[in-house]
Amino acid sequence: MSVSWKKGLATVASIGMVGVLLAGCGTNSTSTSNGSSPSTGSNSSSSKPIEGGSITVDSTQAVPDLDPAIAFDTTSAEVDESVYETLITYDKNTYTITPDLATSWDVSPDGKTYTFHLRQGVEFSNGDPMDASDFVYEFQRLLDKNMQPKPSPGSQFFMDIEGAQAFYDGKAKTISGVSAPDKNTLVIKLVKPEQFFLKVLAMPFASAVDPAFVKQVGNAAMDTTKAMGTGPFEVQTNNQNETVLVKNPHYWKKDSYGQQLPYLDKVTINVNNNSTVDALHWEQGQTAFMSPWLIGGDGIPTAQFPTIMNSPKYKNMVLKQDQNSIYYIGLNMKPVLNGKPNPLSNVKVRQAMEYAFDDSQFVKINNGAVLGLNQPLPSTMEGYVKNLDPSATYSLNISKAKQLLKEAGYSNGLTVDMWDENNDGAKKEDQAFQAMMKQIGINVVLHEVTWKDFLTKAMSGTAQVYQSGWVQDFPDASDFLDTLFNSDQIAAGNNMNNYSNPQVDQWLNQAEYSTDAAQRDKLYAQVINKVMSDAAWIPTIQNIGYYCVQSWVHGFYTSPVTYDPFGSIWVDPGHNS
Amino acid sequence: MGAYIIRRIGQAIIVLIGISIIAFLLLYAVPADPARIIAGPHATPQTVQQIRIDLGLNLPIWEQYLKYMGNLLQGNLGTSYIFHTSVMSQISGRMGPTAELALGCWIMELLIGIPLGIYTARHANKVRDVVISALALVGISLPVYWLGLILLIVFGFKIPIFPLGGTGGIYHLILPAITYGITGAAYYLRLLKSTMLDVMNQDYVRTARAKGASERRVIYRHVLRNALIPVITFAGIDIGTLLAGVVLIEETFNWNGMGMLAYQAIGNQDIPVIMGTVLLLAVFVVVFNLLVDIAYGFVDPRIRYD
Repeated sequence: MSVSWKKGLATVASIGMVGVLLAGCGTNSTSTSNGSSPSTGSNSSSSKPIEGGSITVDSTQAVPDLDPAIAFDTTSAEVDESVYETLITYDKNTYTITPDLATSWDVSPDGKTYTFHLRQGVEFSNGDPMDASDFVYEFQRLLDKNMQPKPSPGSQFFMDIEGAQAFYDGKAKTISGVSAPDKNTLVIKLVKPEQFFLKVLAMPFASAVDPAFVKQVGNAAMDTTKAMGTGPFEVQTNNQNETVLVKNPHYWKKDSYGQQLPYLDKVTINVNNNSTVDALHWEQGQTAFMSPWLIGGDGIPTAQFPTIMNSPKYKNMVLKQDQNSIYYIGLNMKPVLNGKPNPLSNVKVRQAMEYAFDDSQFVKINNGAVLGLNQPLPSTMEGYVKNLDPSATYSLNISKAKQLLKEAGYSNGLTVDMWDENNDGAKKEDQAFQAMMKQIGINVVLHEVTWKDFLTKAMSGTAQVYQSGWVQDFPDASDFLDTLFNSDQIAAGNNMNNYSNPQVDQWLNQAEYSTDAAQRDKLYAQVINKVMSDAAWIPTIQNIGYYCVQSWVHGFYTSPVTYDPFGSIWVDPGHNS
Repeated sequence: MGAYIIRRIGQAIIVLIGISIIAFLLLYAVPADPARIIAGPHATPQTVQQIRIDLGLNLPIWEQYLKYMGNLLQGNLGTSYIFHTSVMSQISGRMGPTAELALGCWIMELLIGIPLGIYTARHANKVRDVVISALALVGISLPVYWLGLILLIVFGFKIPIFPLGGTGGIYHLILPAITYGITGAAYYLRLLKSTMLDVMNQDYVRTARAKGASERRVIYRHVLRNALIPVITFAGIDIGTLLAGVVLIEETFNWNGMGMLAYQAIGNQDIPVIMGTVLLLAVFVVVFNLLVDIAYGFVDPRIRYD
């Protein structure tokens, strides 16, 4: 979803980045910390869950937005998924779409009309009944560019709905493509078929909200202190010190034993800025788990990572999950940049930089807690190319790099400007990159600025070299490739290195609206090979999320797409916190 | 005296206006676009523009400033970009904890600094003076976030006597106060020691000794009393600075005060909150300086404001 920087930075988990975890396609790639035991994906127990009790978890960030139409960051999503529900969701730790507030759905043969049959008897936590008109209302909120306190940052995901653009532009009072023929049926019509549309609908944006409640409290309160959803919990308190969730007495879901969900009476998310202290809280048993979405993007803070990972005591308490977030060094391809000719517009210069890059150093800098990356898709994403074309493959080769620079006419070296955010993690990587480039005579001048300034600079397309990242909005290759390499994304600020290739644009546009999965994979493979042979980016690393879960916490699982499962957690008696 | 006070208040207001202009320029006139940050990367240019208009960011900078100051005079510090609640409401709940923490730190500084100052002055140039003064130098040099974390790990985790951070009463206050006390006490120690040594050479001290007064009486009655004047001055200014300067302590100990609010706001790029906290903290510093200046006249009869 968004441009992201990583690790230990408040901004990561605050603005413009909703991260979603990801495991292998349809498989469970979660494993215990030593990586040797078969993956369970959960901290489960075969005994019957026990109702009651409460847990506390630490978060380095307060929840900025409660309103699902507005929330667009990991911390907010963590809460929203427990308070609100969407038509469909993902089955635990897989990519499989499962019913949520819709029990079933039909798709027309042309792939453009979706008819959802809603679950009956569902109530909001205030007892108001949920029906199809609640979704119609939420779509109107999502597409209202004048909504206060601010418009939904997710409106762009829904622009392929019929009539969405007209409604957004103020030319229509309703969205023609969203209708509720009866209380239990919701029909959504698209302008063009989108193979990934269900994944878009599974994002928390399109949650059921109670129109009467929103009108009563107003959007601002709805976003800050008052929430009203159909999910397992309701918000009792939300401020910058803590968020307290309590059991929704009207929740519809029961477990396989027929017990009413959720099991927990209360969840307290305690805002504690200091991630080192968060880890000590966990080690003392004060908190139920540490999760990458709450503890500054890492799960286990860097300082305690070696201790926790190497301790036999914690061996069975650590879970890990490959994430759909990637990092890269962008190489700006604009021929003239900031009024000067840009040497990076020469493909040979960019390729030389690829050959001089050693991703193992980046892995080392990150405590070995990340994976190397060779393409602009994480290895767990459908569409990932296992065997790249030789022309799209680079391995460390200094003499080849020097040769390429010579061929490009820079045998005496050159100087480039690199932009990044000013934080410790970035600094270490930037300096390593600087040293790598020095070996082939490229002098990298670092400009480390605030996140805001970095984003402004990079999104304006004027940063010559920059380090950035991308976290999925929804698990589909289009969310990475179309957003980051389509030339129509240059103006939007997503395609920050000004990559423009008509052939690639054509492949991307074709794949975007193709309903043939095999054809999409083929097209995306072509895109990846082309982009890599053009050396548009130097892909650096892919994140792994680490979780520490107390042995007295049960029902916890890491998910490829969704956040921490408060709704399914239960605790041993006597572990209230 | 009255004219002096009025003049000083006038100066203080000018200083505050100056601070507001500088802070405003630094925060609002930077080339970054807050609207783009708020809207997120997927937002259309129209959405970004709409936010810009809603926030008044499309206006010339001087107009934005006047508007801000106009609202400020009506007690309105704006609305948080991130939490959409008024900055005033966010700040109001944080002032109490910060005052509590600042007071705790201040008392701890005095409790450590003053006795050690007296002790080293009395034993000047002896080994114990050299050792304590050297330790004081180490104390000044220790970063509070480092010392705080060490104390948390030792006394909150390894030997769990105190809570692992968090806002609360005396129990929660002790570790942060000790942390600040250790790093801040050295200033009092050095100040008191040097002024006491100064005073010890005065004629009236020699006279007191000549009269046969006990050493204890000489030190506490004659030397300390006179040597405390600059210390009181410094302590007055220090409490103002402390109210404004506990950001690192609050962050280290997760103390939900103004400093933490400012820290979080900086991380969130929440400009109205940063602006609000900067202004309020500036007010603390300026007001306490003003109070110290005025108090001079009462504390030291040699000072006149004619």
